[in-house]
Amino acid sequence: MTNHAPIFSVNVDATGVTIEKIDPGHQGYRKASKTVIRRQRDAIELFRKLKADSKGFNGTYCFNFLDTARTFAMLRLQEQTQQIHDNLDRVLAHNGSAKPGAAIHKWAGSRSRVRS
Amino acid sequence: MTKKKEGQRMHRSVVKTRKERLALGTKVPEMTATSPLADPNATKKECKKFYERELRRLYIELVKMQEWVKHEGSKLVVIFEGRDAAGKGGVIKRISAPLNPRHCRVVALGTPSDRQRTQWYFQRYAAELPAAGEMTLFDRSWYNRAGVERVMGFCDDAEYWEFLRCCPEYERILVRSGITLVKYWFSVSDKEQEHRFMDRISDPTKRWKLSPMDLEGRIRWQAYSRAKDDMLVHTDIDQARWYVVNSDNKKRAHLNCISHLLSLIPYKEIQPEKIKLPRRKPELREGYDRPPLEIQNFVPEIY
Repeated sequence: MTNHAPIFSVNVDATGVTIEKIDPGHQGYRKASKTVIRRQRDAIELFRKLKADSKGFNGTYCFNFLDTARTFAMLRLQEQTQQIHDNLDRVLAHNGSAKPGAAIHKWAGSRSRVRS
Repeated sequence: MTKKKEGQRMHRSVVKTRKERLALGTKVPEMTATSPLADPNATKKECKKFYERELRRLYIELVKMQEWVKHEGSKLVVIFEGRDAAGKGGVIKRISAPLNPRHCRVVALGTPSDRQRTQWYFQRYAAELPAAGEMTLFDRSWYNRAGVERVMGFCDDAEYWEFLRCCPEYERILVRSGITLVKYWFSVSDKEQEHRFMDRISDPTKRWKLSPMDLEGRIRWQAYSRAKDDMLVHTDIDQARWYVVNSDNKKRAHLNCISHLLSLIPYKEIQPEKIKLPRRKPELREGYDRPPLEIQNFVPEIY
């Protein structure tokens, strides 16, 4: 990587995800360039690792290319969206009993069958 | 404890028995013998015999599955994606071969028309989705946008990112509406693809399979790999997972893919009602004489 290339920083926190471009010479460029992720594959691996890890995604991640930064940011947001949709499914499938509804049990059963 | 016994104990703790796996809900199609297809010392004849026997057994299971799908009114969509010459068509042919074409349709859409280009991207695929009791096999699908269109530059960046955003949502809607969605990626190595392309070039019966686009795709092998990696990670959702089939060996890919598909569908054998051929009513034949055969155009019997 040359020192003239901008870096794309992805900030993940409780409020959401933001992408920021850091030009050479600007504050934080030197620090960001030390941990920059270059390959798309590494970004995907990082996402998988963080997903598997219980510590969560919060933090700042630096990428060499906008596409790679966008991929990481999108994956994180899609993960959140999926959790919300699954939650919504569970809420809608609740049939008023103390335990979650039968419909969602059926769905979860078929899902575990598919995944195992 | 001896080393051997310890090894056996550890093996048992990792590899679950058929009974245990069934208890977990996974259907394990039984194989009639150990596979010579995976044995490098097996002869061609052994492999062929085994393949044909297994395929025949899986055909029967597929028919049972179709009957179950019809009986339950289920809707099944199977997507086959992969590089050119990865073996998608071969597996689709084997899956659809024993099934009733009224209930199992193969969809292989060509390039969109000018009108379709102005429609919502998923519209022309949505029209092909199954009704109750049907299965649809997509030989390439809406994932064209994340694969060939991305690599060849047939869609712009905004359309591509919009697809990656929409696709998981679209599939979630399909699954919520009662469709079972299964997605297969056929993984073929560079060397094997080259071999198959050469085969297509030299064999006149296979030449139609090869298009200039395939050759262009081969030139852009790495761009395809990158597009595939992105596609799989963005669209692998709990409701519709991607399954990768190693398709360097066609026979193994056919059997592995079909048995895996069968393992995902919780089908049961539906006992058909006993059929009795009705007798002809002689009174209905009255007044009918077959016309002379000479007035009909028969196909010459040259064999």
